This record gives sequence, structure tokens and C-alpha cells, in this order.
Amino acid sequence: MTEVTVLSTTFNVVRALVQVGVPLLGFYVALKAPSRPSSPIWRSLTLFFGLTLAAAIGRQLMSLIGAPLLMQYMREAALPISQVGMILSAVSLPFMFLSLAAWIVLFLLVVRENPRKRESSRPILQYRDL
Amino acid sequence: MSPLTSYLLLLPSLALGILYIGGSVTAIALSLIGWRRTRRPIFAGAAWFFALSFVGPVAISLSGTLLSRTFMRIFDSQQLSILFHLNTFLLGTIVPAAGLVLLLLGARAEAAAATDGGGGE
Repeated sequence: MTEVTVLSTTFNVVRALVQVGVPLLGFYVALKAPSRPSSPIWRSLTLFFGLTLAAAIGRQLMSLIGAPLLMQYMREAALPISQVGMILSAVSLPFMFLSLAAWIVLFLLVVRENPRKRESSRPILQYRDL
Repeated sequence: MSPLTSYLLLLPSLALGILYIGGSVTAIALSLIGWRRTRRPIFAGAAWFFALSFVGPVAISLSGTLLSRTFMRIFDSQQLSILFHLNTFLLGTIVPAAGLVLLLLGARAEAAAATDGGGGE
């Protein structure tokens, strides 16, 4: 085993741990937050971290199990390399959508919590003023 | 494949790229506006998250050429390979994960502030 292979494996292991561990921690904290049932922020964050965690687990499972199995199947079927790339991209698409959904949840949270534009300072004409 | 077909095939990626950049910039701007108006930590956390999850992948694609041009004459291929692994690891894993952690810290600070305020949410 060369130095690069050892380093690459180490990076892959640490990457998998970080990519799954951080959303897992976030999901756990959001789930255990005391004010969660009444707080829309924590509910959104639970959904956000849950979706991120699902995407991360799916990606890891795909790269650890799915991709080698698919590659073996495609090698046996003697598919051209362009099709192999396309199939691998298509298979990882659902995980991209999960990440996108998480991103949209957080975006909507920011939009919802943002204060509305300040009302115009011009006084509104009242009935009694007429 | 004709040139027209290859251009047409590029269109979805181009549209996705524009959406990605536009969406990220809008999200960062909205979070910063919220932070400026209210000083609520959740906005600061969200701004960090959106910024870091945008910067990481963009920096990976920009730094590849820069790194290889800069270090091609200094490092051998094995050292270059290690450098690329390290670069991808830092920008593709650590930077977005730091964004998630900052978002979580912002949310916790928000919850703590709500509790201190006495009103809750």
C-alpha cells in the first residue's frame, strides 16, 4: 500500500464520519430541544437536519455498496463508459434532491422569520379626519 | 455529436449553475438582512451556513487549476495527489460541515436568548 492510498483511505473514512456525524448531531440536538413542539424554528431545523442526514447516509451507502455493485453489473453487461457515468449520476440524483429539499427548508425558514418591510411613515387617513 | 447538440446538453448545467449561484446569493443576502434588522443569532447561523456551503464547492472547482499550476514544478506527482486530496477534503467536507455546526450554534443561541427573554417562542 502506497502512502497516497493510505492517506486517501484515511480521508475517505474521516469524510464519511464528518458528513454523517455533523447532521446526526444536529438532528439529535434539534430533536431534543426543549422548546421544539412549540417552536417553528426547531421544527424546521429538525426537518432540515433530518433531510441532510438522509442525503449523507444515502450518499455514503451509495459510494460504499451501491457504486461497486453497479460497476460490477455494468462491467458484466459490457456497457460503454459514457453510459456508466450517466447511470452513476442518475442513481445519485435522489440524494442531491434530498440536499436541495433541506436547503429549501432552511431558505423558507429565513424568509418566514425575516421581519416584514417597515410600514410607510406617512400617516394613514382615518375616517374621523375626513 | 453535433456542436448544436453539445451546446443544448450544456444548457441544463448552465441553468442549474445560475440557479445555484442566484439562490445562494439571495439566501445569504436575506440572512444578512435579517441579522442586520433583528440581531437574532439564527440569521447569523443561517448566513454562515449558506455562505460556507456555497464557497466550498466553488473554491474546489477554482483551486484545482491554481494548485496544479502553482505546485506542478515544486512537487512530484505523489505529493500533488496528496495535496489535491487534502484540498478536496478541506473545501468539500470541513468547510460545509463548519457551516452546519455554525447553523446549529446559531439555533442554540437563539433558543437560549428566547429562554432568557422569558417569553419563549
